Amino acid sequence: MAIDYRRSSGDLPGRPHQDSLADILERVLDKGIVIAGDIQINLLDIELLTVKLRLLIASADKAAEMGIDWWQNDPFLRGGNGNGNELEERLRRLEQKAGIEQRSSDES
Amino acid sequence: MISSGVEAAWYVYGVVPADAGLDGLDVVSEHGLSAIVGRVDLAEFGEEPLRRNLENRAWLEQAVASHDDVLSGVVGAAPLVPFRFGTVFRDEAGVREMLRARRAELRGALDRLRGHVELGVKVFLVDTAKDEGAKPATGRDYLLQKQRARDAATNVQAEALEQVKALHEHLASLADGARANPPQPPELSGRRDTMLLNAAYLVSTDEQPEFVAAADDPGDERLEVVVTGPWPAYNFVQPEEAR
Repeated sequence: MAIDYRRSSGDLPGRPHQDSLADILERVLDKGIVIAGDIQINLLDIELLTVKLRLLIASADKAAEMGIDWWQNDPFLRGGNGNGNELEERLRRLEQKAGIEQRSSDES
Repeated sequence: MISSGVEAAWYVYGVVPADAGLDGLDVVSEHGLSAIVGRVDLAEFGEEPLRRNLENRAWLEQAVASHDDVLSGVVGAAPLVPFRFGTVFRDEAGVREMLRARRAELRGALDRLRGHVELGVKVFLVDTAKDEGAKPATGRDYLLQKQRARDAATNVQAEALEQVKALHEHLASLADGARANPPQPPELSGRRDTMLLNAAYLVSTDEQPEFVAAADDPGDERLEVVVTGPWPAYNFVQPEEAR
């Protein structure tokens, strides 16, 4: 099953297929609705994976160094709902959780 | 997809309305919603194997591409809520229960996304380094020249950023949703040119041509625009619907 709409679509006429693997990884791993399935561990694993991916996608320091961090502080560009802080908060919680799991598995 | 004798689980790619009538897709329907599913082997997608596989770049890239392939096949044919990678249920009942429990939020998202696609817009600052002309006569001249080149590059980037910001605001005004994501570094984008914008927009299919035309006209030849899509609305089902 692989209908390839994007690659065969006439919706963007004459447009070469320009989405890269990075575009796909970014979306499929880091976006999309999060629903906890029965394989519970996957959520944390995926989140940790996206932490890694995010580090790769934009090390904040690097972006700032290049002067391209304007999207970080602009409330309009953030959609005005403070996603950034929320994301950081989520990261912190995840890191904590990962740390805790690490410790508890060390003890056992 | 998987051979017999393996322990199969249910992988959910996304959700469409039950009346979407999609050919060639396996679905589990409940409460007017259909989950697009695939059978996967727990030897691959169980907790332990999945953890290992996530660290395997070749596996991950292939799995992620398949996930996107299935969903991209639905774009334009039906409203679609794309799931994040790796949503796995042990049995069909689990999928049904998920549809039942999350139905209000999933229906709300489908209504909101109906008639829309996600388009990606990446803007690159094309390398404008020019030959500095005269060869420096002394070491001091050389350093001065280097300094001037650096200052010029900084100015160009600052100017370009303003333009990119204006472009993004304009595109956001044409769209029903806009999200500026962190620009990809060269290792990811595969290009040497600096990426200044890596955004996604939720665009009504009726307005798609107008939107693409606007995106393609950044108003500065140093800026190169790459439009991608149409994508499933990955960027517009998070995080609001997840809460």
